[in-house]
Amino acid sequence: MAEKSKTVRAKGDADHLHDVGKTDTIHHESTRKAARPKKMADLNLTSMLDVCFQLLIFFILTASFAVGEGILPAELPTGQGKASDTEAPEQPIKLFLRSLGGDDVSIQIEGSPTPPRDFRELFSVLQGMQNSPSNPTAPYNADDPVIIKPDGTVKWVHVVNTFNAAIRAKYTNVNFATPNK
Amino acid sequence: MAKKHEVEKQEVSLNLTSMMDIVFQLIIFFLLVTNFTSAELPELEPPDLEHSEAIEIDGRDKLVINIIPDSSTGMAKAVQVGMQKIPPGAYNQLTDIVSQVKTDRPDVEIDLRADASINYENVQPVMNAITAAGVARINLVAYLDASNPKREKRE
Repeated sequence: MAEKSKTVRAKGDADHLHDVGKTDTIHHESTRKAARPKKMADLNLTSMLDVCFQLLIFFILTASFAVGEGILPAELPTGQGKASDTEAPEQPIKLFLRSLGGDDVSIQIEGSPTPPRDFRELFSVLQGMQNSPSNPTAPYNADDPVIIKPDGTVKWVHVVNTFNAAIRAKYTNVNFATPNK
Repeated sequence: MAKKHEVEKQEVSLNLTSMMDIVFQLIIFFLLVTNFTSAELPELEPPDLEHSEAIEIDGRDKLVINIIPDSSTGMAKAVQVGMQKIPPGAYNQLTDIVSQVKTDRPDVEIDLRADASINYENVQPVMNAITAAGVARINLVAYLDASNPKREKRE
């Protein structure tokens, strides 16, 4: 009786129930037939899933490593490259950076009596020096060279900040000088 | 006895197909968004600028030159070109590597990724070494502006 009910469940159709009741041979045959598709479905995916999870965790951990970093295109300081090919400029703007110990820095614009206190001020001073339709009396053009002259002990962040202030003020020819020792 | 057998069989046939589908979707997603250049970017803190003008350009051929700091003394601990680490004084070696890369990949851009705390006197020789390799333009790596939605500063 137990065997009979098993067959019925496996096959699951009412027609077969009659056949099972008649003879044993048919009953055995039908069991085998019913068992075959079940075995096919038994493909073991566990190890594949393990590998997939390993890959997934790896990619989650390695993704988005340097998010938030960008680039500032720049010309290199004096050398045999194209950067130094510019013919002697009439009036470069020279920006001097001096380290005041620790993280502090003093910014000085050549020929300007009042040094800017921070990079925001440097930006507005540089912007005020540039000739534009709204500011036609300013002495400098956007393509006049701006030369940044940092001391050797000035932190890189201040150098890049100065560079950034100059290109933010729409100067197109910003260069670095060798450190004055 | 027969009932027990039946229960066991049903337990084994747990259907993993949809789970597999989701896992594959996720793998493909992360495969596409992952930057495989991350090995060329050692952990350091690029300059964080006021009103940064830094831009992001995807898909360009680049060689990253990293200047790794020695704590916060302003000294460089090492210079890493691509995957290769060289000691801070070996600028000739740096020039050789850059010019070799420049010959192999003519359109390569040089990214200078120096830590914010490095003194300029330790960055300047690296710039000179790059210039000596016949490169006139470089890109300075800095953080994007704080208002940029793409910026997610690392802790």
